[in-house]
Amino acid sequence: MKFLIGLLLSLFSLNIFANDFMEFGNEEYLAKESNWFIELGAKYYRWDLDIPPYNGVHHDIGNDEKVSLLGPELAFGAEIHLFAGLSFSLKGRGFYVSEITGELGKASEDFDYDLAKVDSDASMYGGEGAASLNYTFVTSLVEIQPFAEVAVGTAQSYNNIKYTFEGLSPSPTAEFYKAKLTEKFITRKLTLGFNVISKYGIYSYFKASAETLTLKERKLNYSWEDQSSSDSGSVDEKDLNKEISITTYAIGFGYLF
Amino acid sequence: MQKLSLIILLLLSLVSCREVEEKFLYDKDDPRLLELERAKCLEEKIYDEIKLVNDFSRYTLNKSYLFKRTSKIGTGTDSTEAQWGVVISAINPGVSMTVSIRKPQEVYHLTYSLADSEAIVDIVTNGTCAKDKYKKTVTETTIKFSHVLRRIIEASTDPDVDPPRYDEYTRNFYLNTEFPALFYYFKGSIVEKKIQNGNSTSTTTYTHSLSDLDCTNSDNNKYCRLTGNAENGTALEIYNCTTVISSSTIYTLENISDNASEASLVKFTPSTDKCNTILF
Repeated sequence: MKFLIGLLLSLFSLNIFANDFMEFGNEEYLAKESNWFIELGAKYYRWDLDIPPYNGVHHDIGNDEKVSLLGPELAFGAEIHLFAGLSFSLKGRGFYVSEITGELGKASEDFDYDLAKVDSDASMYGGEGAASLNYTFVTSLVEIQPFAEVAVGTAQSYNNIKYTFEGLSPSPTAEFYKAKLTEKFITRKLTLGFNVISKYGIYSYFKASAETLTLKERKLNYSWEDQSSSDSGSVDEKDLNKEISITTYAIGFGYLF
Repeated sequence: MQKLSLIILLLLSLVSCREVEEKFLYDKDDPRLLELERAKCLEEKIYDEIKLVNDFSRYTLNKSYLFKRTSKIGTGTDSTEAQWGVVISAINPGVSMTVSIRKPQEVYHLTYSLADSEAIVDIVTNGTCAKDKYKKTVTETTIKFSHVLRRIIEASTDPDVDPPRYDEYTRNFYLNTEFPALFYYFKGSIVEKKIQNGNSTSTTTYTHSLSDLDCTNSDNNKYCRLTGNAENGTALEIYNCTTVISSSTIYTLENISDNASEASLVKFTPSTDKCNTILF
C-alpha cells in the first residue's frame, strides 16, 4: 500500500513538467531573486530497535530488529539570492515518521480465529534548523537546483511492540512479549539533493542525508514469556552520548513565493 | 488546488497506513484446533442460556399452542397439512413434563423427562459445536441447526462423485429458551429435493410452526379438549407415549439413509405403535 502511494506521489512529481500542472502559482516567479518557500515531502529510513531479543513460537525478535520508518516532513524558510545562480537557504523543518505494522496469526484456513497477534508501532518525530547552499541551472523548461544542506535538531522516538499467543492444549502454551521504548536524540545531518523548479515556482525535491543521532535519553519497559522462561524489567538511562549513523531519503514538493 | 489537496492527502495517508499481514498457523485438521474451536463455540452465550430449557418450572401449566404443518411444492402456495393442539398438561419440576397433542380423533400424552431435555441440549450443543456436524446459526435465545440426509436412488460408481439420482432431505430445527426442548420438534422446516444429474427436479418444503392458542375460546375445543368426545361425537382415543432420545446422537451432514424420518433427536415410543403417528 505504502509503495503504491509512494509511486503515485512520484508520478505526481513528474507531472510537474506539464504546463498545466496545478492551477495556482505565480508566473512572475523569478529564479534570481530571494523568495520564501514552503515544502512538504516524505522521509524514509531504516531504524534499529534496541529492545530485548525474543524467541517465541510464532514471533521472533532479533538482536538487530529493524523497522522502516516513513512519514511526512514540512519545512518553511527563505531563499536568499547571492549572485549568478548561487543562493543560500535557511529553513525550519519538522517531521513525523512511523511504521505501524501488524500480524494476525489465524488458527487455520477454515477456522477464522486470531490465535496470535503482533502489533508493532514505531515512530519518530523531531525538528531541526537547516541551512543550504544552492546553485540554479536554468533550462528552457525548468530550473535544476542542486544543493548541499547542513542541519541540527532534536528528535524523539516511541516504539511499542506487543505479541500475544493464546496457546493450545496441551502445547504450545500461551506466551507474550511487550516492550515500550522511548528515546531522545540530538540530530546532525548533511544532505545532498536537487530541486526541479517550474516556471510557477513549484518544485520537486529529491535528497539523501547522512544523519548522526546522538542518543541522550532512553527509557525501556519490557516483559516477556516464552515456552520455557520469562523476564521483565525496565531501563531509564540519561546523559547518554551514543552515536547512531543512518542514511535517510526524502522526496517532496515545495512552493517558492 | 484540488491536485495539491490530493497530494497532501496522499502524504498523510502514508503515516496512517497500517499493514496487517495474515497467516495461518496450523493445519485445519490439527486436533488441538478442533478442541479449541469447540471450546470457543461453547463460550457463546447461547450455550449457557439454552440450559434454561431444563428448568421445567419456567413453563406454564396448561399453556397451549397451535401446531401447524404446511407444505409447498416448488414455488407454489402453502397448503395446510395438519393442525394440532399442543398443551403443556403436567409439570413436575426436576423430573418430567407432559405435553399433550390433540389431533381430531386422538390425544397423545408425551411424558418427557428431565434426562430427555438435558440429552437434547447436550446433543444439540455437541453437534453444533463439533466440526462438520450440524450446521447452525444462533441468536441470544435460539439455536437453529440443520442437517442433510440423502436417500440414494441410483448409486455412483465413484464414491467421490455425487450419485446420479438421490433424494436430499434437509431438516431445520429451532431450540429456543422460551419453549421446552421437546418443542424443537414442532418448529422448523423440511426440504425434500429430488436430484438427478446434479439438478433439482422437484422441491417440496414442509414448514412446522407453533402459535399461541386460546383454550378459553370454545371455538378452539377441537385443539384444546383432551378428554371426552371429539367434535363429531365419538370418544377421543387416548395414547400415552414416552420419549426416547435417538441412539444416533449426532448426525453427520451427509449421512446416507433409507429413512429420512430418523432426522429427529427424539422418538416417541412405545406404549403403542400409534405414538409413531406424531412423527414426521
